[in-house]
Amino acid sequence: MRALLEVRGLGVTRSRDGETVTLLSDVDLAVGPGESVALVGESGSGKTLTARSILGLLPAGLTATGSIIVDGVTVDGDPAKTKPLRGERVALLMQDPFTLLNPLRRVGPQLADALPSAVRRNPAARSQEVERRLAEVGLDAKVAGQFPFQLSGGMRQRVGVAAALVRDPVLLIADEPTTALDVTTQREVLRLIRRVQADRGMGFILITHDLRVAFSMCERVLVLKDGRVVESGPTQEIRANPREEYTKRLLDAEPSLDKPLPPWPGAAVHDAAPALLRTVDLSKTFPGSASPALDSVSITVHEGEAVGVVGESGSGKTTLARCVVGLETPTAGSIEFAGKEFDSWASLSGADRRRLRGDVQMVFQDPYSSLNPMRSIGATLSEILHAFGKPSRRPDAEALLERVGLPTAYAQRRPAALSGGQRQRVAIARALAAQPRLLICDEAVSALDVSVQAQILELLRELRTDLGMALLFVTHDLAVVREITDRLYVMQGGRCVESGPTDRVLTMPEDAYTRQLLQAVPREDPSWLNRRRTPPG
Amino acid sequence: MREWGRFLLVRLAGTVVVVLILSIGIFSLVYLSPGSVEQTLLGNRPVTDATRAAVRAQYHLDDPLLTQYLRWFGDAIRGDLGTSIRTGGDVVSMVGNRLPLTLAVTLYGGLLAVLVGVPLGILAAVRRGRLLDRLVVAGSVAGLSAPPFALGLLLLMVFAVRLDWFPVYGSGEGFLDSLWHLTLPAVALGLAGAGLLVRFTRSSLVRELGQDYVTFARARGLSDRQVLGYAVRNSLVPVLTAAGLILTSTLVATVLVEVVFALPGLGSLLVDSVTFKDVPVVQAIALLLTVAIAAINILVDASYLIADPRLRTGGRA
Repeated sequence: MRALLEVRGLGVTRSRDGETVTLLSDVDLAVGPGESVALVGESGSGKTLTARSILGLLPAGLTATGSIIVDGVTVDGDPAKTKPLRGERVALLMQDPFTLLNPLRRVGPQLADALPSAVRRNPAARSQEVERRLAEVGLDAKVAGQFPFQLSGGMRQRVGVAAALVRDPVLLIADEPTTALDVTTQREVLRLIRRVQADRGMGFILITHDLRVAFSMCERVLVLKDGRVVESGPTQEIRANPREEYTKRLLDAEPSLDKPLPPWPGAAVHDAAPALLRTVDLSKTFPGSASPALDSVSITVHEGEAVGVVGESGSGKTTLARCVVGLETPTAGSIEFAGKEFDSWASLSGADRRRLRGDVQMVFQDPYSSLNPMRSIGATLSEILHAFGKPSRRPDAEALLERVGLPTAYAQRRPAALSGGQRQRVAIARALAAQPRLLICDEAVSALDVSVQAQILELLRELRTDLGMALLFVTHDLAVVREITDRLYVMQGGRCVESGPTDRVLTMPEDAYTRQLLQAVPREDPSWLNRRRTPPG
Repeated sequence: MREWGRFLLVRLAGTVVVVLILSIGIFSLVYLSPGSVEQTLLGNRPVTDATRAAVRAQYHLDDPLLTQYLRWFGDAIRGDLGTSIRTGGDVVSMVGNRLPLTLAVTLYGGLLAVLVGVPLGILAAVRRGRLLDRLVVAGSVAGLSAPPFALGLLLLMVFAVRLDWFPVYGSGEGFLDSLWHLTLPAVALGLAGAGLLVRFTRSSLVRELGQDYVTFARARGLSDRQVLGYAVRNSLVPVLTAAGLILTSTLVATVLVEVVFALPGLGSLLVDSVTFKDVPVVQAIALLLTVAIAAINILVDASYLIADPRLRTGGRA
């Protein structure tokens, strides 16, 4: 059997100002027809660089070395040699369905752009071909007339798959194809890719940070770290018996629904404690929107309790958090916080607002955009301490850094000099400056690598035990919520569909939607992809 | 489809309000000019009690201000902007005689700006970081910073006086002769716009070329021409904004450039009228410019709808 792709000794270097930095080295990889291989690693491991080298699409300033043979043609990462093969023999599906399509071109013409010009110039043949391609990915023919922004994320990624396959390549490389999608959508898209791959007998390379997805989709797995392959082999072997310490750590760090959890002291039931936050029938309808983003949601958070709010995008979970913290004004309902009842933050008197402001703080999803890039970490922390009338000299800012496990020397640095996990620690330190009684984390670990995610979760757990603050943890990730919360609210379409102790909700879900969410969470066992989906409702 | 109708209606209503407010300012020019109103309206004629009374009666100066304004505005809408103090002629026909030349110079200059600026901007973006890019960007800075009237003088010195390729003054007869006569003024007017367009086109296209959809288009085997087509098409909205700005600033810059090239257009009429305190003519030209600039802005807004379907269907970004 001839290999569709043979990569030997692939390396990538960056030259700048006469200095050469090696970003990737000694990657060997072979994919045959119908075979699927996963490249697994955290950010900076070089998995995307590997894919880009194969297609000759490295960013400017980066050079590939080593041997690359695509379907019998030696290309060696040379863009000129790779160009005629792109789309024709090898296609790349990119990560973010929200940005990979031309936003201003209808789906039909966009697919047709890659068709041979003879088909493209014949309107009847063109629309028939577009319809056939859309049908292959399970989309209706009318999608052809729509713009990408009129489609959901899952539909866009289906269009992405169709677009990548227009010229019938023999090898498909998918770079984190479902990372930006909800769990239920992720499962649908992964199943689609697997079905299409089997139908066409294509070779398939899946790039992912998620070992569970890799195990369930691929026969072979390569684990990358810092630009090197640390372990490779058949899925069964690596899953049963990872040789490398790093692979084991990755497997351990991955939050899962099956793994037993270590007991932790904060896990007592907090029903006896007084309520710190209570929302009553909180609703929010955005102007110009037909349905409410938040529809009569009532939640309670007791002092010192960790409460999860889980849902997919559009479920209203973030709107809920933003209403509670005062970033949105609810259209109906009321909020009771720290003994004060009010309709919205806007209706509070200035004095009350200042008093309550410090009692609830928020940590946002994206640590790259939530810190002022021009200020040093120390200045950011001093500023916030000063704003809350706390001592704000250098030692005070440094104490905050120590509190979140960062060296005090980081006070001098700018956010750009920190990694994503370190920035998120700073964001947490900033939230802690006011000594809040309630910390709201809006997808605070979603943008982080699994090993970093585990560390941040550990930090939050520690802070909660030490400082006795309550936690409102908003996330789409059921496995994460299991690790950190006592109680859980499940949201769908702006309503709360189920609530209860986290353990109970996750093991004995009562609502059909919760069951559906649970089934969609990736597991190492490939059967999660195959299981029939529970009908919604 | 109803969203964009509403979008245009709202813009149109806003524009009408702006034009109304500005028209009040234009009307009050009569009262703002130095000296008494009667003196202003009499111009060089002798100021006696009799002429003063005649002027007060002719212009209804004893009516309340609001009535005066409404009468003036009503007349203006019906196409009557009074008589020139300097020549005694009908203001509308005076302005009408000068308008075609100014329009021709403005459009010619704007067209040159687009035809030079946009392709150069695309070229610079595609070759970004290379020598050509740097040359184009440096050239655009020079073009941007040169004031049109000074540039006009320079062009006259070099191309009309020294090289004798173009006429020194006049507007020419017939299409080709006019084109020949108007080329130097149009270049003087258009160069700043071209510089601005280079910058807008370049930065907007560089941003688009870095987007995921461009990489994905390459990865699925679209030709270089198709990929560039995607990016250029999508970089259009900022370029349209710039084109609108350029057209309005060109319209204003003609005032001085027409004087430099001795062209009998609106600009030189405006300068003469200001010198002679010929208020009705100044009012007419100011009103015309206001309406023209408002119209250009509406056109730019409407062209957004064509350039970006997300605005058309009220879609989420």
